[in-house]
Amino acid sequence: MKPGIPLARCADCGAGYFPARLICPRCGNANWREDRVHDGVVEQTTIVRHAAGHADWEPRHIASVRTSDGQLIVAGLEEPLPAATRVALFERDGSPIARKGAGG
Amino acid sequence: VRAAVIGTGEAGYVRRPEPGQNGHTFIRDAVMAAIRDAGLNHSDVDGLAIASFGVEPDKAIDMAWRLGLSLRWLLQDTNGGACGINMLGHALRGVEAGAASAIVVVGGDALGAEGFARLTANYNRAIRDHVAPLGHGGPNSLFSMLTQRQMKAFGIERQDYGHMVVAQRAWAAGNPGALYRQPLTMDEYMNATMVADPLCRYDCVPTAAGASAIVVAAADRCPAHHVPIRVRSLKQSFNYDHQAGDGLKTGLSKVAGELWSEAGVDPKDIDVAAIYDDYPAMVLAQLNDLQLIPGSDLARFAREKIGTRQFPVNTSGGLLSAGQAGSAGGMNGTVEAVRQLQHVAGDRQVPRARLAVVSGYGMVLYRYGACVGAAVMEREQ
Repeated sequence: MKPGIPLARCADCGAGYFPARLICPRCGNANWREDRVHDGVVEQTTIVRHAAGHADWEPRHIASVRTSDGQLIVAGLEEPLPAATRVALFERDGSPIARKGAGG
Repeated sequence: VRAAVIGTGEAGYVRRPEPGQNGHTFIRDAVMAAIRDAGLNHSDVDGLAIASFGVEPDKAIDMAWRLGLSLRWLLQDTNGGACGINMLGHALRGVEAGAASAIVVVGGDALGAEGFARLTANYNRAIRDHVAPLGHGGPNSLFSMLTQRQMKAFGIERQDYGHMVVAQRAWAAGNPGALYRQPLTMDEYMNATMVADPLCRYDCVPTAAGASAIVVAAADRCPAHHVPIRVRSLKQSFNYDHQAGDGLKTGLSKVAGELWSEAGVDPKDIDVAAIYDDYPAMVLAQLNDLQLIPGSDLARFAREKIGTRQFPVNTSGGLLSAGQAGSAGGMNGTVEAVRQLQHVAGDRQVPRARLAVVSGYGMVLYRYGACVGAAVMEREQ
């Protein structure tokens, strides 16, 4: 797992996006630089107990996490965490994973 | 030319197709039923609008060919739960502009549970690349967290949603086309298996196979057994907040004022509402955006107006009880509103229904839906 998650940072107005956009909705420009965000706070969590079309489903913990840069993202949890938990963000197979603690 | 909806047709709404049935055959059967109900001949149809996740690699033109239709107006819609309102708007304008004289609008699918799982894991690049790898199990996980936000923001309890779900099931008892028609009790709702907390199985739409269709044509082509159903106004919104919000408001909040003023209708005069019900929380969100909930007291409205069936919402049973047949889900409410206004809704008929509001909502870009629209419909006097 790679520390942090990628943000597309608008080089003109500074807004950051995950997932990446093609044109910045705030300023209408398309000059991007790569950035990363490492921390966040859990806002909501759920346990996905069943999923249609999956017979051998293992329950998953999914969270809404507010990053320290302001984006609300969908992240996977490796263990149940309560709302308001400070988390470190990691990237696994292109998707955000959140672990209790501060990011590097 | 003044356009109107002059006929409806549905097919399927079964849990599993019989041998020989599939998305194509349900679409065919709904199209034929709608043409017949509109009092038209197959050769009268010169326009087709179609939405289906499952007809690929066929496109709208392949479906026109398979359906034996030679056309001068054709549209393929990809807006999921918002497809019905989008296609209805295009069809009305198509007839009024003289581009076509009789347009069949249809949505249908027979995806099955496995097909639904494939669809929702590959819904778009953002979901495929950044959400599905987490094992999110489809949209239930995303809307479970949205529901939590709504419960906290508006002081809603699970039981409040239960009143809505139980009421929709009671409406479904009067709809021979609904998938689930047996009564549901509050105890069954409260004790149901959790799917993605706080959503239980009755908060999540059951996958069905079927199709829903309408015919849009000049009002004076309406057959003698129906009255024309007019659309007084229709408004839509796409990607209104760039997924930057909490999902508790939809784009309807931006267009509702125009919707009512253009219709010349006061929200309190609406007789029947068909609100896209992928989840109970989204029904309340859309009703609130449409200014139909006094004081934005969502919990009270769920209990006292929807739960008691004093305000008729989703009288077909909605997708939660009638079933969600993929893209037919975006058409189900439109068909139901038309039937209520035609006064052909049988045991579930709302007496003297004259004005209806229909909404469609869908297409999760990342965390919630981005396509939404609503129409105010009227039984021509």
